[in-house]
Formats: sequence, structure tokens, C-alpha cells
Amino acid sequence: MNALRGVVCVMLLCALAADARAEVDVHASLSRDTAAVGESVELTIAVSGAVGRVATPEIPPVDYLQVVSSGSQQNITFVNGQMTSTSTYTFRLVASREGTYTIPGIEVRAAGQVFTTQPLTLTVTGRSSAPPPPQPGPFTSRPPAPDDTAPGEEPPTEDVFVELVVDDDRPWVGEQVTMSLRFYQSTAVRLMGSAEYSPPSTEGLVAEPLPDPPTTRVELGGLPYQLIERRTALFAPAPGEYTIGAASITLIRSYLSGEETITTDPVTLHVRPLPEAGRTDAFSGVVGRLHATLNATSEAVRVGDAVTVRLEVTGTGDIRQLEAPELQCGEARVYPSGRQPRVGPQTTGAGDVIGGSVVFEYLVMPAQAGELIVRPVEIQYFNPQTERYEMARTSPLSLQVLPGEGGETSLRSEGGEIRYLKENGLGMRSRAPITSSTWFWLMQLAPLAALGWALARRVELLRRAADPRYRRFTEAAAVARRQLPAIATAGDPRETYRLADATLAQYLAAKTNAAAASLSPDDARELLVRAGCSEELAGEARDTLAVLRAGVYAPGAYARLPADEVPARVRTLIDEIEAALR
Amino acid sequence: MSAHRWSLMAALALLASLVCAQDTADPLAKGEERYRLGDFEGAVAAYREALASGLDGARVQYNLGNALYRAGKPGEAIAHWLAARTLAPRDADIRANLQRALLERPQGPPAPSPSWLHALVSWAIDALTLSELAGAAAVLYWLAVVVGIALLVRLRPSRSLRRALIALAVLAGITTALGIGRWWRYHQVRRAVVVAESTTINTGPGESFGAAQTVSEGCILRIVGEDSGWTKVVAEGGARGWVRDEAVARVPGPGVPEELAGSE
Repeated sequence: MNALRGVVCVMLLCALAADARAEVDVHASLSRDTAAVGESVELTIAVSGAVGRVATPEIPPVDYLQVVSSGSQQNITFVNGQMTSTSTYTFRLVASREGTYTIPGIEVRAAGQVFTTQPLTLTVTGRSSAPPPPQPGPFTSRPPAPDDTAPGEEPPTEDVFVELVVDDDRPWVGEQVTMSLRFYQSTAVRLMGSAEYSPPSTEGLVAEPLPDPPTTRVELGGLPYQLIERRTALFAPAPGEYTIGAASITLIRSYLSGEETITTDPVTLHVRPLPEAGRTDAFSGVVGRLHATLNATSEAVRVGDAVTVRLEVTGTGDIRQLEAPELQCGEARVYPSGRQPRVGPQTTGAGDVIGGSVVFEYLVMPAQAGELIVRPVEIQYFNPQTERYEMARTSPLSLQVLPGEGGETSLRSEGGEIRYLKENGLGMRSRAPITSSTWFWLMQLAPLAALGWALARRVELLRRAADPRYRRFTEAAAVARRQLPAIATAGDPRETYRLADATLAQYLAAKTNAAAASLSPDDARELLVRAGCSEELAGEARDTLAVLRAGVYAPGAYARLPADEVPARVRTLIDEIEAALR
Repeated sequence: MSAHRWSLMAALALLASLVCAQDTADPLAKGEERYRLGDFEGAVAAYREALASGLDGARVQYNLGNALYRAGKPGEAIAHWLAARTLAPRDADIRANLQRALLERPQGPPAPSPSWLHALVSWAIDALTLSELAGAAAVLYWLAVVVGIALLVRLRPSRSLRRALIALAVLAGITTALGIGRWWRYHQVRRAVVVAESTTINTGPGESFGAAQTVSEGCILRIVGEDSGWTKVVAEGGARGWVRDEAVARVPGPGVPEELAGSE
């Protein structure tokens, strides 16, 4: 029984295998029959009906045709108990030269059998104006890409070469096309000096230089190259065909070789006209993307005064061509007053594009108090990504209009009269301003002199405050002179002598930095001489002090200096010492 | 009878000579009379005569502006009203007529100041004459010096004196800065007004140069240079270039001879 069961199973499997063998279908196809140099073509091999493992097919080598990437996918489905399997193998091919390539039959091992696909033919034309798809965009540095190091890739035949490419050879009118001139130089090559770059002619196109990307190192066919790139944004003003002329680079390899000029092929742009459908009167002519905002320098304005309303349009594309849209609002006069374009290269997520902002300024002069609404401004543009016309629309702007300074709530009519002649009042002759007068400026010097005196006075005050000895010295005469009236009116001779003695002793002590209580006439003389007084003056001071002291205790001294002469004598002595010690 | 006749003739001759003398000696009165009669061209001629005789005050400039405006020359009127406003900046009649003329220009009134601070400074500079600002600055400066001296000669100055000095110094500084701004406008900034219905600001002093901007009558220009029949200007919108001399009238002021201010 078991043996019978085994036989049945083997027969069933054989039948299934035979059935599978019969249903297997292998088919190869190209995504297109014609491509340009550098463009990728997809080669698909579909194996359907095979059960079990299918070996990855190998593409037979074809000169100048390289496989830059490959992938596979397998789908298995069960329908009504029947299993169906489909394996798909995809290869991306890139041709590096023009010509007609024949891809021979590709062997596919499936279901234990070898199947061979039909031969395929691919026609490759001249170099494409578009960059090879596997490569990154021209706006980024070029990392090692699969096509750079793909096994079997044919290395470039030149160690120095240039290529001129555009990112889109079928742009819309006004759409930015980025033109890149790429200069490849093998790192094994050393040039004499710098290569001279001659830009291509872009007649009929509006050209705007873009920032140069940094010099990068790339691998082509496994060989390292230095890549220098110069980029330009181009805008076509009208539909039709535009030819970007050949660019060239002139270089010198060595002293022995002469100048060598490497020239690119020209590139043709097929510029498409913008569609009519969807275009309105608000179309601005801009191809790109726009955003608009509306604001005012002030939210409130008086009747008769003007406020500046700013319409800022930002976006990408050649927005310099934008014209001031009409500003619509209620009871107000509107005068376009300015236009400030700030347009240039801008780095966005999509790379470097020309864009920026244009600010339109309007003077709005409300004619009626209340709320003034500035209606939304609409600017239509063509979006090349969606290939449709779109609208940039602002929000409405509300302004509060206050009555005029004179209380008027509405503007006077223009037909009114101007104010009448002046038959009196105001000057008949213009007078020169006072700044023309020399006296005016001389008068401004007087406060400076007073300020100088005050400054010196402050320095003196600060010194006296900081130095008690100096203060005692400088204020001694003033203190002594204040005592003189009391001496003169003392009455009693003895009191006169006592007061005079005390005053003179204090004065002399202050001038000589001594203690008044212990100052003897001889000490006073000696100290005065040391301070700078003459011997005669010092002696006179000593004698006067001695007489005054004697007079306090011995009335006989009065004969030498009468009491009524004491104040004058002391004053004279102080004056002479002040003059001597100044 | 004969004596009476001779007396009458002598009196008439004297009266006629007096009338003629007044007519020639007072061009201002003549201008007012012509204006009253509606002869605005005659009034313009009379006021120009007054200007030539040295009567260049605010009243003459204002009245000449009025006559020019009524004669259909708003550009020249603006030039003379601007001159009148410089001399009498707070006169309501001058400001009203000037504002009216500026509003009626094809390009509308001048753009308001970009910020409130700019507007405040411009207002302060324009609201006072150079003499008023200089006088105010001088008085504040003197007061500040007096308070400063009082502070210096005291060892312990009071706090109120210090505050007064700071306040006076700040006010004097602001007034001086405004005065400098006014002096700059008075002596250094020369202006002109477009008197042609429309003219181009060329990129160079000649017809062969391209047009940078077209300006219409009444547009106020700042003069920055001159070259044989052409004036280098900066327009209100910021455009810089050259205009023909005959297309503009210079705003009378320091350094601008009357024969250049306005055109016949």
C-alpha cells in the first residue's frame, strides 16, 4: 500500500513537472528601442510559469553597453488551487557611445531547463541633453554611484573632457532650465596653469549665473576624475527651438604641447508654449511658484494722510518681470510708489533656483473716515511641476481711517481754491540764520571758560578735602583775617594783645605746619625761614609775636606797639607772609 | 483861471508820478493787484521782479507760488512753496497749499516716512527754522553749563541738580542734533522740482544715454551734481540720473541764485 502511495506521488510530481515545463514562458523586452548616449534603458526578463528556483540571468557583455543596476521580483499566486509564479528581472543599461547594439539571447535557467530569450536591438543616438538618470542631480556633490564603478564599465577614452548638459530640454516658456558645463580631469593628469572656460552662447535666452558647486572627485569606469562644474539658469522668453552653443575649455598639458581646446556639442532646447486652458487676465507671466502677502506700515491713518501698503510677492522663477498689480480698495486714492525686486539664486530643496521677492509699494490716501478694506490681490502663475495655472492670493487688508487733523471726515474736493495770497505777515526778506553770525559762535565759548574755572575750583576743593595740612595752609590767612575785627574792637589793651597773639600764633602755625600752643617767637622765625620767607620778614614776625606775648603779661610792652596799631600790624604781617609764601 | 489850470495839471502830474513810482517801487503790491485781477502771469512777473530786488522772504515765495499755481505751473509753484516752508515752516497756509499741490501730482503725495522715529525726526527738523533750533540748542547748552558749574563747585552736589544736568544735557544734545540736521538740509541739500509735464531721468548727462525713469511734473528731486546743461538728481523713489536743466526748477535757497530758481 505504501509502495503504491509512493508511486502515485512520484507520478503526480512528474506530471506537475511536465506540466510546469510545458507552461514556462521566458520573455525579454526593452523599455524603449532608442535612447541617447548616457540615457538608461530598462531591460526586463519575465519568467512565468516556472515552479521552483530560477537562476538570475546573466546579460552577455556588449561593447559600450553597461549594466548599471539590476533587480528582481517574484510573484506567486494561487487561483482555484493552481499556483502561478512570475519572476521578473530588471536591468538598467546605459550606452556610452552612439550606435546600434544587439543584445544576444539571454540564457535563463528555470525548472531545470535552459531557456534563451530572443535577441534585442537598441539604437543609441548622440549625447543626451539630460544628465544620466542614475547620476545625482547637478546641485549636489556626486557620490560614488553604481554606474561609476560598475564591473565591466568602459572607462572614458579621454583623460580630460567636458560635457554640456541641461536638466530639461523640453521646458515651458519662462521655466528655469539649469545648464551645467562639467569639466572632468583625470587625477593622473597635471595641467599647466588653469584651464580657461569659454561659456556657450545662449542667444535668445535669459541667462542668470548660479553658484558654482565645489570641485568634487568622481569615479568614471573605475578611474578617479576631478569634476569642476559651472552652472547657469536659463529662461526662454518664447516658445520654439533654442540652441545653446558649444562651450569650450582651453588648456595646456605641458610646456612642449601647445594649447588644446576641448569643445562640447551644442544643446537644443525645445521650448513649449504655455497652455491656454486656465489662463486668466491675472496671469503674471511667471513660471514657477508664487506667494503673496499684503501689509501696511500703519494700521491707522488719518483722512488726507497717506499710508504705504506693501504687496510682497515671493517665489521662484524669473519674477523680475512681475508688474505691479492694481490695488483695489474703497474710498481712497491709490498711487503706485515703488518696486523693490530682490531676485537671485536661492538654494531650495530642489537645488539652486532663481527666485526671491518683489515688493510693490502703494501710497493709499483714504478719503473717508471709517474702515478701509484693501481687497485681496490675486496673481496667477504657471506651475511647471503640476503643469497647471495656479493663483497666489493675499488676504484682505483692513485699515482704520481716523478723521483728519482738522476733524474732517472726508477729503476736500479737488475743485476747491488754494489758500489766498498773504498781504501781510511773514517776512519780506529772508534773514540769514543765527548760525551765520560770528557772535553766536563766540558766545558759545563763554560757558566753556566758566566751566574751566569751575573745574579748577573743584580740583582745589577736592585737594583741600583730601589733605588737611594743605587746607590749613591755604585757609590760614582767611581765618586770621576774620579775627581782625574782634581784635580791633576788644577795648581792653590786654585783651587786644591776647587775641592778636592767639590769631598770629595760629596763623604762623598753620603756615609752617606747627602746633600753635607751643610755637615760640624763635621757632616761628626759624620755621618761616625754612618755609621760604626772608630773614627780615621772619624776624619781624618773631618780634611782633614776642611783643604781643609780652603785652599780655607786661603792660610795659605797650610802648613798643600801641594797642590801637596791633590789628594793622597783624594784617600787614599776614599780607606780607602770604605774598612771600604764595 | 490860468493859475488854477496850471495848479490842477501839476497836481495830476504829481499824482501820476506817485502812482508810477509806487507801481515800480513796490512790485509786491503790483503782484497782489495783478493776482486780484486774475492776471496770474502778470503777478508772476511782478513777484519775480520782487525776488530780483532782494525781497526773498517767505511771503514773496508763497505769493509767487500761488501765482504760479493759478497760472498753471504747479511744478514751479511747489518749488517756491518749498522755499517758503523752509523760511516759515509752521505757516498753515504754506503747508496747506503745498500739500494740495503734492496731492494733485500724477504720482501722488510723497511716500510717508518708513518708521515713526524717522517721521518724528523729520517733523522736528521741518517744524522749526535753523535759527530757532540753534537758539534753543544754545539756551539749553548755557543752562546745562550753569547747572554743571553749580555741581562742580560743591563737594556734595544735590541729586536734583544732577538730574537737572542730565535732563538739560540730553535736551541740548537732541536739539543740537536736530539743528545739525536742519543746517544740513538748509545749506547742503539742494532740491529741484520737475516743471516739464514729463521728463526722463537719463543714466548720463546726454540724450544718448538710456532713460532710468520717467518723472512727471511736481516730482521733487535732490540735486547731487551738475554738468553743462544737465543736473544730476536723485528722485523720490531713489532713482539716480541726469535731467535736462530746463525740465526742472531749483528750489530757492542758500547757494541757489534767484535766476536759477524757477524758469520763465
